[in-house]
Amino acid sequence: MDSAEAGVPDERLVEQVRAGNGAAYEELIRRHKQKIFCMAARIARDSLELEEIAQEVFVKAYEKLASYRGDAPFGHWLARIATNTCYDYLRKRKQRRVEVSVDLHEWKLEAPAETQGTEPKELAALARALEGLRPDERMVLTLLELEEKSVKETAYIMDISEGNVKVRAHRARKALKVLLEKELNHG
Amino acid sequence: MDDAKLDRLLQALRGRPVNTARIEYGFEARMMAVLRQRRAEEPAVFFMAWKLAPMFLALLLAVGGWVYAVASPQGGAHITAIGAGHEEVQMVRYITGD
Repeated sequence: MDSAEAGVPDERLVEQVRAGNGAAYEELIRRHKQKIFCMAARIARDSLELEEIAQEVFVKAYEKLASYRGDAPFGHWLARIATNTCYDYLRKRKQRRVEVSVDLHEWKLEAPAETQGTEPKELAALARALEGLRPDERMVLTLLELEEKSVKETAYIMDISEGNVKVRAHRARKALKVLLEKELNHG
Repeated sequence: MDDAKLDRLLQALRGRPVNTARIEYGFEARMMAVLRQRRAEEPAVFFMAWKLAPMFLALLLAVGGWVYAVASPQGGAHITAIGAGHEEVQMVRYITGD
């Protein structure tokens, strides 16, 4: 880590990037890449796609940096871009009707102790059922249930009202139950 | 499928550690290279757009002129009327704006 950028708030780094300091953006990437990779890993099918999504997020953020007003933390603003990028990927995938393998990816390690009671077969069925959801349903469940974001955070990230988040989450859970039931019965 | 079972499965999926460290390695360096490349390509695009601008402007003016000449309903109607032998009436209407 560059000692000049260490400890500098994100908002100050953004100002430095706008002034033409490329090293400041490198520091922003270093700080936020893990969160973006974790979010993208919930959507990506392989490591190539994971890297592609992460790159697209940071390119978009760089191009839109002039529009960042600082009314929300930089991390939240970046998460919004990441969500939109993931959403676009899901939509494109649905349009192309790509058959995907949703077994455990290379970056998903063995189950920790507290989840060992769940059969891998059931988890694989859940992953397949999630793939069957509509992109907006999947995004809302990913943010609320897997990323553990609050309703307020999810509303900001998805750029919808909190009431709308609750409605979509309810519908998504209902749809997921139906899909999961099918997967467990036929899988 | 009950809610409790769904919650248990979602919790299990959430609890699975996501380790992307290997893929993340050197990401910022790769990312900066991508951005540098994009910046290097930008001037070439702008240069081409600047060079082609007069051609597009001329084309736009030509198309605009043609549309104005051909599609103007009033002008067309008067020309037709004159051709049909109502020159005098049409000319008075045209001049007085009726």
